[in-house]
Amino acid sequence: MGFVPDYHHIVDAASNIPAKRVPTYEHLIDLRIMEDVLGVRFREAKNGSLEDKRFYFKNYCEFQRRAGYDAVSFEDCIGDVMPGMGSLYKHKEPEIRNRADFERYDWTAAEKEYKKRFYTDYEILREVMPEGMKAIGGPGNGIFECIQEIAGYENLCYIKYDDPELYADLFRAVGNTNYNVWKGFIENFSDVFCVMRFGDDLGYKCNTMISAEDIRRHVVPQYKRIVDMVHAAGKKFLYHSCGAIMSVMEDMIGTVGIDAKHSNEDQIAPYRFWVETYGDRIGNFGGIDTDIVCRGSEADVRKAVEDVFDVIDGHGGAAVGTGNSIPSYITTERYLIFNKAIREVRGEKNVCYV
Amino acid sequence: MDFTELREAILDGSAKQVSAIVTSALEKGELPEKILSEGLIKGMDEVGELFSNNEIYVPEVLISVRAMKTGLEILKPQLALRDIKPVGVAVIGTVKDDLHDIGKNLVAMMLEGTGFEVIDAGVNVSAEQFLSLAKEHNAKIVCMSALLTTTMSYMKEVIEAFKADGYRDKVKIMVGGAPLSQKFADEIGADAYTSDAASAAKRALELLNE
Ligand code: B12
Repeated sequence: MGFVPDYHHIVDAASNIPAKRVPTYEHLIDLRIMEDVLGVRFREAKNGSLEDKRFYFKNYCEFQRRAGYDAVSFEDCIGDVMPGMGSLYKHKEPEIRNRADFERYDWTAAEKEYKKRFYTDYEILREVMPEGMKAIGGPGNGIFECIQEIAGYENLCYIKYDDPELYADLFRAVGNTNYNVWKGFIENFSDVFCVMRFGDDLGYKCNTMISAEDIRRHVVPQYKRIVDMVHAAGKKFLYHSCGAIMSVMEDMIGTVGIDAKHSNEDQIAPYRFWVETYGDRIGNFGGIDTDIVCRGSEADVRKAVEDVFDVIDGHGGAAVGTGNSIPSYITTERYLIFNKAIREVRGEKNVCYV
Repeated sequence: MDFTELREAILDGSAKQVSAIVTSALEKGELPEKILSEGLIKGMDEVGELFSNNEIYVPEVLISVRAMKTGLEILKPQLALRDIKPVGVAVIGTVKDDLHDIGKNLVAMMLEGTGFEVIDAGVNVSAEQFLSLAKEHNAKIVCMSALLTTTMSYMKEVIEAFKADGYRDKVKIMVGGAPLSQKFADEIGADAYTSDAASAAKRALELLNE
């Protein structure tokens, strides 16, 4: 008998209640690792026929069950369906540079395309969800990432000075798009998800990517509209953002009302900082720097995991995993060392992957 | 002439003002190299200082850089006439398999703001590219940026490639990016590491004289 999942643990963690069994958590895991663990190749199937998709999601969920997760981490990203996207991930020239571009842009296309392209994913996810599990996630990319997809980061910075009104309008328009996508998602798929989440990297090594004041003025109100909806649907909200975003954490907790936060990097602040500073009010997801999983020895990994469990002891809700994700450059072997360490330290006996 | 106004225009990121002040200073017979060092570069110094102290954000730096460049474009022909050269050439790039370029671009801009000629190799840059660009442009400084744990290891390979080619002593190698630390820079044998773009430019200047 393998691992028996129970999504209530991750709901507890997101509610800042110490879970009876500390859940393990990842935002993203590279599909190649999932395939290695299962011994099944399925990555191409997501874009195939309904039958293919079913095959994809069965394997996708089955991996997460076997690897000891209580919830299936899944998102389909809004940025991917924004017309003219590509400036964040693909170094494409920005679609929107000025007022004329903005006026010409089809602001309703993304929400329609989101339904068309992704609703079947969520339907199938519902259909194949393993017993005891629900999903964690939802529409990926927050407002800031979506804006960067169509306006580019550097170009957005220039717009701020060259046309402040356009700058504000961009946040409003993309805010509306995100709101509408979320509205449709919540109306249709609330039952599939136990915790809702989006990731929106607002920070980098030294600070936030735009000023704290701009985040308060343009980003926070847009986040709040979505998080209010999540709460009205009776769900907890997990916020993912990389980087040094301490200057706006009070706004995220106090105004937006996030229930939990993910992402931490040792070069910025150790996990302990996040737990000790905010742990009395929100759950803290993550813990171990991606770098350690990637380059540390087996003993380093084990030690980092044990340290994280020391930190969370007596500190409210926590779900343990990397501070970021399991990207493609982490080998399956290393991932398994890491995964096993977490599961053993939390008290699982005879960890196996069946 | 007092260059306070020009420095303030740079801090404000006002390209228009910078261009007006530089033009009028030239008309008044001010030396272009003086406008450059006392106005543009000092202005960027102040911007860098504020950025290093987290008192301003990346967007403010970007528009200050843009304003500075407007001034620099006006000065360039005059500088050339007087045979004034950049303080040195720096080759910069994000290393192989890494596509993060916002930080790298910022470092490149700050280097320009300090008086360097910058050869930007872009992202996903291989050891061979770094080496051949450094040779081609007779660069004194090579800057590598990496934002991923895996790609940062590639920096060592680049340094080894410079060594293997007998070119290591001809350049100073600087490294930076989110997951890096001084310790890592020492381990791989880089000449310098800094945590932000403004100190990177300062350090590059120091390295020229070491
Ligand atoms: C924006 C971003 C992206 C954008 C990049 C857009 C672009 N055009 O650059 C996108 C979305 C494309 C992206 C993709 C990925 N990313 Co990314 N990304 C970031 C993020 C949030 C900010 C980086 C940034 O732009 N910072 C702003 C600039 C100004 O800061 P900076 O780069 O640090 O530069 C400053 C200093 O470091 C220094 N500096 C920089 N270079 C140099 C060079 C020298 C010589 C010197 C002296 C100084 C110096 O000066 C700069 C200014 O002061 C960071 C989070 C973070 N903590 O940094 C993650 C982060 C770097 N990404 C990460 C990951 C995992 C990825 C992906 C693998 C995600 C995935 N699972 O697919 C991909 C990889 C793509 C690839 N092959 O490169 C991880 C890396 C983890 C690790 N340790 O390996 C990070 C750290 C997030 C995290 N929480 O863990 N990302």
